[in-house]
Amino acid sequence: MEFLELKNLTKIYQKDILAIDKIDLKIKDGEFLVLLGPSGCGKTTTMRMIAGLEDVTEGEIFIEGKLVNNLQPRERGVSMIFQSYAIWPHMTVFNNIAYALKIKKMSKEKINETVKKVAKMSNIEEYLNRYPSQLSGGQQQRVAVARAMAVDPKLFLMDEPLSNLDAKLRVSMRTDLKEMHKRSGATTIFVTHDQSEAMSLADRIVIMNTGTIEQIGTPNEIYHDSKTMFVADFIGSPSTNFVDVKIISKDNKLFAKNDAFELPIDDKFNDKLHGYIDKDVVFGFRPENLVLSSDEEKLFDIDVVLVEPQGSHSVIVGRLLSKQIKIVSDEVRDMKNIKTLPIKSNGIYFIFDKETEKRIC
Amino acid sequence: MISKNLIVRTTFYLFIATMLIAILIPVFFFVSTSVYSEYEVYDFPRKFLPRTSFDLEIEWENDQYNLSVFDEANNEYELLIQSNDMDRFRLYLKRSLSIQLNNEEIENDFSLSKKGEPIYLTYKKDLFYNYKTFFSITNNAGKSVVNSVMAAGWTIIISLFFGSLAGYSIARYKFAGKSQLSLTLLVVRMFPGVAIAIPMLVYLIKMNLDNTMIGLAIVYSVGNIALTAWITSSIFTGINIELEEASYIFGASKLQTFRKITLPLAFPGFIACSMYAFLAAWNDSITALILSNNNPTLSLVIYKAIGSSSAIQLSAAGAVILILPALVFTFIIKNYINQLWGEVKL
Ligand SMILES: Nc1ncnc2c1ncn2[C@@H]1O[C@H](COP(=O)(O)OP(=O)(O)O)[C@@H](O)[C@H]1O
Ligand SMILES: [Mg+2]
Repeated sequence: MEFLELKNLTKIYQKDILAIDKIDLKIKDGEFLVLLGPSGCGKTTTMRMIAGLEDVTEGEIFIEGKLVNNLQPRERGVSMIFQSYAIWPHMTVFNNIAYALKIKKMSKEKINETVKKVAKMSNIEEYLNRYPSQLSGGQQQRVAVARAMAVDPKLFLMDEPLSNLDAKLRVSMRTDLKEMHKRSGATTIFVTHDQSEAMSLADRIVIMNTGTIEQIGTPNEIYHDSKTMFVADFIGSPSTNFVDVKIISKDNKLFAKNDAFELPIDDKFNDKLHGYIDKDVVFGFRPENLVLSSDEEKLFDIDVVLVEPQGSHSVIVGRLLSKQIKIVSDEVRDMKNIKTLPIKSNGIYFIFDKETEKRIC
Repeated sequence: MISKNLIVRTTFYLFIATMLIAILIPVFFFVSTSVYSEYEVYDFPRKFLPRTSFDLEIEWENDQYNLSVFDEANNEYELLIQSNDMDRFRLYLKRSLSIQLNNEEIENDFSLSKKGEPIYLTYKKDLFYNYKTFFSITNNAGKSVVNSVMAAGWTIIISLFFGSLAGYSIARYKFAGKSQLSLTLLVVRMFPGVAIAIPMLVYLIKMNLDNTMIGLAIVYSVGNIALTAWITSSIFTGINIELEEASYIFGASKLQTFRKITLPLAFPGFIACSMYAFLAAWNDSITALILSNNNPTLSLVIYKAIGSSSAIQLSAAGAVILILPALVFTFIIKNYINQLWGEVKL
């Protein structure tokens, strides 16, 4: 059963700023869903509408089949971790966590017990009597998590909860959040603009771009089966290399041709490419799908600009037809004096329509 | 590293010391003046510390007592008066030297000198003589203290109530004419209180509020509402709206959120505003002179006392009386002011 459903959801700020444009989304019970997209694409707006902090301009939000458009935040049974943490500076950690429980008129013993429990889970037991200003960023973040867990919500909303932490802490908190989700089983919507965070946490990822949904899928689907140029570009680091080519047909065989190379296309794509013969399309190569080759087998040469050693592998930055190309190679040799490198395709690539930027095959 | 530290610390303490001196010297000057006797005021050179007692010499000569006082500057006794009228001595000791004795005590002590030898006496000065005099020569000084407290209290209540409402709406809501409203508030501040006092008097008389503390407080509040709105709007703006939103999410209503989150966070700002309101009301004498001459506040009483008497020591006593409640008020709210200067981050 769907736990949460967004139907035709639209948000217009101040009469003319279209922040969310008719999105539809269904989230299953217990799912960990990540909203991923660049800054300003409407992730926070979506989340705030679900929480009830922002009016819905058009469309409907259902939680467990019930229309909640006109319910107050407190009537929706959601819990939220804010990007700024939004823990109250004039209350001790204990009182921050106990706030919601006190409002619910829970008994003193029950409050104590609950606060202790979530504080233990979030590793902040020693700090219950401190004020937030006496805690580090990571500890404050844990307080926000503990406060959100204390109410035992049906739906967790997290708006870039890790973005204010340093890199190392971010990775360890990521694991903690995932574990917490496993334990509580609460449906979770997690917002981030960091694709590696999204990939490692999500059951499913929703990729957003300027107020619309580009693609919904598991991390693997999103990566290996990107539906649009935007997704192919946004997911993966380094991102997909796009090369303009023309589809030509010679003796019933299709080729991708430009000034640098002519690549024979697998016959299984013939049907889909039928309408594109003699037209311009865009080829997308993931960095690991362009590989170093011998001079005999090469598809083209790139001019090497620089090599970024990453330890286990190197990122080679080069130029092809004056566009930047990045490839990943696990050949860790000294490439200081190399000017050009022969490259070939390993046969895996995306083909996009140049106009619609949608994937053809 | 060490030397840089040293320079920084030295500069810091020099700065603090200068500040202290700049503040403390005038304070010391009028506090000490307020316990001077009339005789000391005309002392030259002026003593650093006020005297607590006087060394007197009494001589019996030609059926009269000669009263002299020891003048430390010249290291000799200076003749003050000659008389055998005990009333004259009593009044002189009281008014010029702040020594409070009755006729018999004076006669008993002085008569010892009739044996022929001059006698030497040390009399304690009454340090609070000027304060007592201040209250006894100004009629209804006690009532005026109550008046001042009332006027200040009402000013705080009125300006906090209206000012913080205005401040909250400026900070949290978008509405037509918002920038004009903020500007208007500033313009209101530009009028000197005296300028609006006279037209306001007409209104107050019509409302039967002339010579009342509420009426006075309404006039004081005009400028203070604007100031309070400015201060609180920036305080409310500074309170991250997500703190309120988190409260909604975690089950609170609008009212609960305002009471438990917004108000406590804005509290230090409220304290600062009430301090401004208090000081504006407490220190004003001109507006009070126009609006409430028949029912004066303390500062008006002191203003009149200073204006009509040449006794600087009495004026100093009045000034100290005016300052004390303000000091007490400040010390009470000191903790909250500390909070305002950054002990709690919003
Ligand atoms: N309160 C607001 N008033 C006007 N425009 C807003 C407001 N909040 C967000 N927007 C606009 O809506 C779009 C989406 O914003 P947001 O949801 O915050 O993006 P994200 O969280 O993905 O970075 C942005 O273009 C932003 O400028
Ligand atoms: Mg955002």
